[in-house]
Amino acid sequence: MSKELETTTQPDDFQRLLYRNQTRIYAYVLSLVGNYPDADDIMQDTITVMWQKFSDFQAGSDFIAWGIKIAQFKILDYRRSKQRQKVVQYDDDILEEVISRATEAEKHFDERVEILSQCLKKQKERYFNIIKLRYFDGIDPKAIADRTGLTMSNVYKLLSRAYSQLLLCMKTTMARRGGTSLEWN
Amino acid sequence: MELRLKQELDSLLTKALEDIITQEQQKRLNSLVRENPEALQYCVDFYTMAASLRRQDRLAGVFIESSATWQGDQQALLDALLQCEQTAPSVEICTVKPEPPKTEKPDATKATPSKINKVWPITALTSLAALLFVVIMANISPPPVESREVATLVDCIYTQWAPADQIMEIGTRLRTYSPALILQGGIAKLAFDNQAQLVIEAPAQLSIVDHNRVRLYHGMVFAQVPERATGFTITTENSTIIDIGTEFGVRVDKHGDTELHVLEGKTELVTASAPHDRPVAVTVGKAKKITGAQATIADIPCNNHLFVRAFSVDDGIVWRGEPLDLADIVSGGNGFGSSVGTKAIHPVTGRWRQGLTPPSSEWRKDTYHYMQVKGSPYIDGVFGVDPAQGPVVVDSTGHVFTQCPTTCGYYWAEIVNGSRLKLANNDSTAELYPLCLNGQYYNTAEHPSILLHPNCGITFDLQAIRQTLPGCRLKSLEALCGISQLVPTDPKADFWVLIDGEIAFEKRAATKQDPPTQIHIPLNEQQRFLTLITTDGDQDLGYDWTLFAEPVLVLEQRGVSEETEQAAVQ
Repeated sequence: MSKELETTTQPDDFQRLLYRNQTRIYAYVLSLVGNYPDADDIMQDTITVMWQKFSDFQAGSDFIAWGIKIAQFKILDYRRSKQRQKVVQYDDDILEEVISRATEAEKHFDERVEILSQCLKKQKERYFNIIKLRYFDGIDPKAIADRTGLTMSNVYKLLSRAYSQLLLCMKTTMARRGGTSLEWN
Repeated sequence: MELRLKQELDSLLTKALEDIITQEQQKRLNSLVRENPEALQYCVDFYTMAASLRRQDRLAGVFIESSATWQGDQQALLDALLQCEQTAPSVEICTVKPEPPKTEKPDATKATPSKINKVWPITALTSLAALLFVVIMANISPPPVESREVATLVDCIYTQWAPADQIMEIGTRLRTYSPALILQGGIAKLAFDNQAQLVIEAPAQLSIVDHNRVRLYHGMVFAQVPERATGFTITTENSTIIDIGTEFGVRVDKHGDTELHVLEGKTELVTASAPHDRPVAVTVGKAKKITGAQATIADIPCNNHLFVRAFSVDDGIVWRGEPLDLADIVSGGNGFGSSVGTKAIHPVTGRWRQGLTPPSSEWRKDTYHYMQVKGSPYIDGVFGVDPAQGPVVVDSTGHVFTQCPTTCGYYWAEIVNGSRLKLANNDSTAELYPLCLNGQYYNTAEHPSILLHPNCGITFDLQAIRQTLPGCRLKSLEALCGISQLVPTDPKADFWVLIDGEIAFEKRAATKQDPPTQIHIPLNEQQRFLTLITTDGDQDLGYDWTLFAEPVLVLEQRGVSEETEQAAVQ
């Protein structure tokens, strides 16, 4: 886990630490939860607990690891609650493996974001545009469908291909750099 | 990883991400992940990428840079997307079906008699039917995306929404994945579930992207963001503003140019010219203008009074950060310039008059009592000052001005707003009563004053003022005091400011030659009454034109959590 060493636990430092690191904690949560709405809720609850317990955070220790530990409890609560109503992402017996891989992925987060940024620029117009509309303009898939005349199915397929192309580009770029790589072919 | 597996994962993960995956599909995804270690890793990488896109502050620069070269608007982008899709080569439709059983390849070294495959046509037809079935199923709309409630409309004033039939009442919950909010008239206040608050002023168009992000297409928005909601983001056509615990205003004009004014704390600004790895920090008291698609950033003056920060529907008050004008209250207003006419307050009866009584050389005397003033919730009362008649009561709870000096016991004029100074018979007063301190006239709307001729006092009810604007705190009283330098004689007079009956300021034996004296009195939440008094300094009322010039209460916005506690107390 990458280190976020801090020398003070002043309350105004909380927001600075959170702002710099919350996306990494969110990535961990999303990896285990599997969907945006539930990940957002869990993240919000996690931040609330982190804020309440910030006086327990030890200066010099790893803020991200601390946040992820709190998030894990929230995720387990979520799974227990949701499993009564529906099938949740990942069976229980592989959860440990998922946690292990999500933890490993977090170590290389900064590098991945930098590569993602480069790969975004390289995308074909249609893939770049759908990502831009979805994430930068904040238009939901239904609205994209309504306003273009595309079917919802087409919009999701386009998103799916855009994600696929981005991941492929990231894998190729990381392999070319000779550092860590995405472990699938 | 096999291409077919990868394609299936892409489809299932996209659906899962948007929470539209069916139970059967979820089971299928879980099964794939369990059986294929590569699939599990692919999932983790997929979600890491998706998280970065979602919380894409660090990627905003990429999109903003692209906006610099894109000449069209958002609809043009959507049209371009449609055209791309209509002309794109056909692609294989992703399906969710089990892997076909693996069959052994025939051994080419073995000679086999050729056979006519009688089963082939049937198999082909079956496959075609299956393909058609899949095509039909793929084009049925999936379940609608589940949007989430993330904010509430908590207050509004004079609002007019579009479309006209849109129901937007106080308490309406607002969702992501909803059409943009279009405010054609008035002012609205949104409270997000993470306690961030937005005040929107029409005309404005805004959409809620998620619990911590809005897109402002045009209009003016003032954001108050507590620590808990750090990272709250407002995006515009050419910029992204990220809060780091602050209060700030954003204005987008019809050309798409953006202004950012930071009133408290700090923000980070991301544009095409200030990408995500080199954002521009914009701190308290600073403002930037971001112009054009190239997103040129320029410094501009920070305007503390540009954005609506609070409002009161009951009192019709819209507060943009300006101080509260006590002179306006003296002429019957709400402190923000609402007074009309020339009302003045009689210090003995507490009644409103339409201006000063005609000038008289006679001084008047009466039996003085503390008189509550009806018709203004912000004025507690008025009184004449003559300690010889008994204790000088200065407010409705009975506080006494115990250190009141001896006076001649007479008074001369009503208490009046110098900018609305008129005689009751409508004669002009400018020549008769020039109110001037240190060369500056204080009988205009820009430079008002309270003409408080001795021996009188007026008390303001600070608690009533606080209740009008619960989102604000009274920070201090600021004013100048002095005798008009244009009087023809050499009078003397005393100035007093009391808080709950205790002296907070005094200026004894002021003369017209003295420069005006600055009054600065910090206020706290417990203080109730603010009293202004003047007394004759020498037992003589002649030409004691005593002014409190530009008397204001400086307001500051409460923090969000503080506002909630205050409301609970009230």
